[in-house]
Amino acid sequence: MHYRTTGDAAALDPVIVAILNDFIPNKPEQPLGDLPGSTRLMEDLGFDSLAITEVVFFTEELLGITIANEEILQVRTLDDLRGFVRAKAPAKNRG
Amino acid sequence: MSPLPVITGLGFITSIGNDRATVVQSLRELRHGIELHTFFGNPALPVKVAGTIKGFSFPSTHWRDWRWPDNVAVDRELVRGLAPHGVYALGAVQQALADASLHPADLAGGETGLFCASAGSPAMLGTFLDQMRATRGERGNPMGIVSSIAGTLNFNLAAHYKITGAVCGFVSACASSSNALGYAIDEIRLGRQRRMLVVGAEDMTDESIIAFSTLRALSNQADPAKASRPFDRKRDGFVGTGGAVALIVEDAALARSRGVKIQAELIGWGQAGDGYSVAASHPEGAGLREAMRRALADARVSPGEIDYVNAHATSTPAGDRSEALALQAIFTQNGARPRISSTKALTGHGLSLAGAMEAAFCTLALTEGFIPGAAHLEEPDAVCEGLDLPRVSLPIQPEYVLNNSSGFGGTNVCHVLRRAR
Repeated sequence: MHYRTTGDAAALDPVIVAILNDFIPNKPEQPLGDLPGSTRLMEDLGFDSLAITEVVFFTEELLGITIANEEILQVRTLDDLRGFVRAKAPAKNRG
Repeated sequence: MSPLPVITGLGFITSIGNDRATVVQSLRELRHGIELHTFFGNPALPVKVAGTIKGFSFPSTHWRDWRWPDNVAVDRELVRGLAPHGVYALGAVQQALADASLHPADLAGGETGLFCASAGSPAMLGTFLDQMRATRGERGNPMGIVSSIAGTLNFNLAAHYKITGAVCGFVSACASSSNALGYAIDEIRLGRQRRMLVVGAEDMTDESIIAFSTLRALSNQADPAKASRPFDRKRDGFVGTGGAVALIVEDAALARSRGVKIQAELIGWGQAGDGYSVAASHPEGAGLREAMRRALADARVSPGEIDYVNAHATSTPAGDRSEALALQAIFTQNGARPRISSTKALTGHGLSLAGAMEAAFCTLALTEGFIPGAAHLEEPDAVCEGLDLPRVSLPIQPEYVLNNSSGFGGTNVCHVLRRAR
């Protein structure tokens, strides 16, 4: 909501955490938002390729964007994902 | 001597009950599970009733909107790949495992196979394709295929229970789960598997049922107590239902070694095609007659030994007539007079689910010692003359029962079950 009002792409961070929480195969002991940005989606959080495609589809639907396969392959960590989504969020909505 | 397949576990998510005890009570007391239902929110539709599944809710095709009873365990990770009937199936399998004194881990390891039957999920497939059309093919739900196509049931259950034995789905319309059970019998007899999990399931959605109104196959009766009345002169079509039933089939030697109760023996099955029409049954029930003959021959049982026939009869004018003629040919013309009923009067027609559901009902009749009556039958069609259609359930212990199923394309499958010895 904050993102839609202000266009501040950093406001998408908690949305990303919520999406990951929805699709994460195994819940981590710590809240996802508290984990270091270097945490790896597949090796540390247990995401497999299928779960990743679900996250991608949900993000595409939510933000109205299209994410290419080669872009997905570059996203390995939580920080990668945050940066990627901020960069891909529709420019027209940014302040 | 080949292994003897036996049934050691049953699970039910049906319109007449979501547990064994309730289903037995419904069959004994002829309590139906049919309710008024408005399809597509359109009261103008002539179809007014359905065999509803109580305690479950699927108001949309998105899993976040779905609800199921607390005693059905469905992981969040798993539900995303399921159709509504996959949720029903988990409930049925969990019951069947408990009934057979098995732990989910017992299904892994290769000695257990999985044969399933469902038509897939028209509602899930429709949503998936709508997404793709709306984005002109640019994106769609990654779980769209595995949650919707025929096979969704075996994809999900095989992965969830880590089944490494034979895994297959069967697609022969309303005979599908009867085929699944028949081939499960063969897997045990041939020594390929020592245990088979057989699951039949269908959605209970507007899309899964109203599609049949295009064939004018559904009843337009608004009275839930009269809409499904197989073999009655005034029958006017079937009532749709969904749900899931699971059966654990084992080599009798394995069941005995585990000390688990054998509920029924599966002593034969047979199948035959009509070779006649893509949708209509053969007017004289030729394929069903041959399927019954083959099943009886396989079981080495004479028509006179059969105590009860669970008929396929769905309450359509043409289909019930064909089956009545086939029953006359096998039984009446050979001087045999088994009790006959179609439990679809109570449940509605479960499509791919029907054969497994009714094999499970036959098992209950054998274990609990009763014969389900022909509910809602007021005036039998003249073609049924000579057939014994009891109006109430009878407290009679059957020894041999025959389960009939027929599907589109003239697929006919029959099983012979024997009381456990």
